[in-house]
Amino acid sequence: MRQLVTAVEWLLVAFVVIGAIPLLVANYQFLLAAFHFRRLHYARCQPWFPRTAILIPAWNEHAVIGASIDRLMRLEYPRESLRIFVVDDASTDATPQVIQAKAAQYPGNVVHLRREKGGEGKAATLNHGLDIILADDWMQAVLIMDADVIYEPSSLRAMSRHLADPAVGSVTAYIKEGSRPGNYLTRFIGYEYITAQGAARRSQDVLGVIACLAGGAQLHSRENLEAIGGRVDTTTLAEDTVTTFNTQRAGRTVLFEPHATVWAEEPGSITGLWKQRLRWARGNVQVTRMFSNIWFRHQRGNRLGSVSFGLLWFSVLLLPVAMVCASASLVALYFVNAQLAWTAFHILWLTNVITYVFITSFALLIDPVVGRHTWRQAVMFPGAVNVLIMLAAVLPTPLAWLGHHALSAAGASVTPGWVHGVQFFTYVWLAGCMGVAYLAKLAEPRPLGRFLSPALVYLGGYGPLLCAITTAAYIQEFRGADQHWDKTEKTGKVAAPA
Amino acid sequence: MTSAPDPRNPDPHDSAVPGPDGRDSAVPGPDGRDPDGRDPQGRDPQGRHPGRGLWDATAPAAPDSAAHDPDTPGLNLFDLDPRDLEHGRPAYPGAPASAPSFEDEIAAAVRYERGLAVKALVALYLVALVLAFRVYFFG
Repeated sequence: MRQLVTAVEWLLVAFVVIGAIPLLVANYQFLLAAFHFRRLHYARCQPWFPRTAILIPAWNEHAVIGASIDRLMRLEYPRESLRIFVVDDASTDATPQVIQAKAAQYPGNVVHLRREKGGEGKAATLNHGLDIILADDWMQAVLIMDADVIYEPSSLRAMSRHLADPAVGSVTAYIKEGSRPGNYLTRFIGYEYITAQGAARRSQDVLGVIACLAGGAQLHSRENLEAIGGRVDTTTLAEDTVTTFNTQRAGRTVLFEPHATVWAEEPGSITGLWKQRLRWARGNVQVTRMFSNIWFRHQRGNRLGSVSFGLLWFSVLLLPVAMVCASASLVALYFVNAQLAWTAFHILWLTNVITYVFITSFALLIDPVVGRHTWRQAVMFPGAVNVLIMLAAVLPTPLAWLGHHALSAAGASVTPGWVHGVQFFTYVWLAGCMGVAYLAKLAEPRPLGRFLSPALVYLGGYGPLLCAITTAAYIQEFRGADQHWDKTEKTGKVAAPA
Repeated sequence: MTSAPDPRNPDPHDSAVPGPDGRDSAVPGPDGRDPDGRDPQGRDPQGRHPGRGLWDATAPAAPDSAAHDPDTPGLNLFDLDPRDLEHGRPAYPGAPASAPSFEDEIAAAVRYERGLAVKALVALYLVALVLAFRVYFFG
């Protein structure tokens, strides 16, 4: 019987360790980013300006499309090598008139493509434009972008110089959150993009495999587009990821150019963020299934099947599972062997502290410009309670002393019951923070929601909010929920900082 | 399609003009091509778009590069001194004389990427400090 209990205890400890795997992978990913200088592609670059068709899908974008076109015409790129194709997806606002006015203002550079039957999603809109662009021999490269994003003047040429190497099929840029004035949520997203783009894509570059070309900034050579069939996938919600995978499976390199900066407007409300990220997360689940034969299997001509890439991919996709796994195991272990649970918890949270300090400080140093605006959100990314638990892991005695005095001041005293209660709470919180983050979504549209919702995000954490969205994506995919394109509303508040 | 390319400019590639500073924006690159990739001597564009009519005459060709090796996603510039890179090519046609050259931009990007390794060391140093504090004071 004793042996059985011991086996169960170690099995539970093993599940706690599984919960730490995404943390270890995150550290590995950031360490890889530090070695990006070893894998730069610049030696194969040339000042290279292929004739580029800029493809912009647009549905009711009258607030942003005119300014976007103006900015594109100010790119440091030969104007005669640029044509902007705006695919108007049956817009019902003034989008067609704005595009036509710009076509008259920039003759030969702006083309208005109108779809009378719209609403089939971004992929179908892009395919409409690609069919027309590929039918003409003029185009040598296609830049697929969103209607609202702002390209810094040097961005396109910084991307196109990589296409001088015929082995390169696609190049993506560094997307940054550019809402001005922003709010707490856009600043969280701003920091998130340093980690998800500035760091993660550098590390993928080091591995020689890119997970996803940013939907708002993907430059393809004509040869690459033709090699992957000249169309983007319409069967999933992650057409950009499918294009990225197909490019690499066709034997072409995909690159991240960190010095090509593109500013994008991201959702300023949890409702908008939830809609956008649910689409992304469901798309990732679909891509995982679609390419089920590549994971952790050697692929000829690409590295999609490498162990490192698989770890990076699944550590993001399965992060909520890892959190629940660790939390449930700690709770179970608490009832079997409370002392062992406490030890396992300490090891897990010291790993958390190492990850938090390393990633937060390195991310802020990777992009100090964005970091200056978002350092508070960087600190609070895991949520106030999680930060407090990490502090307790680093400073156990002072915090215990503080807790003792706080209870004394309230007329209570520290009893074994209190201690066990706090321990139990911290074990549950590991997964429970996702629930609190979900409450922030529920609270937002309600009275006092504009105060309560941000407070809940700061309490539960922005990271746990993203995990809650991924969990919702699992559920929707499991239920086979309808797949439709919920467009993120854009208001034109994006601005590149001076 | 409700608007078409400008019929007044059937071959936009003939419109290369000096930059605003008077500098010729069409400085040939080391392979003899213009900065925008055209071959000024009208040689065959090395097969990017063979046999595709009018545009072929001006279709830029990709500079030669080593055969693609999927196991080598990028070249290693660690040992490449930025000073060894050729200087002077404008970063884009019409770039002002005061603007950094293409090679200057590449060198700056390489410097930035190398600096990230130092920043990672700073971050690791912070982690070591936190751990040392924890172990020293609280065991």
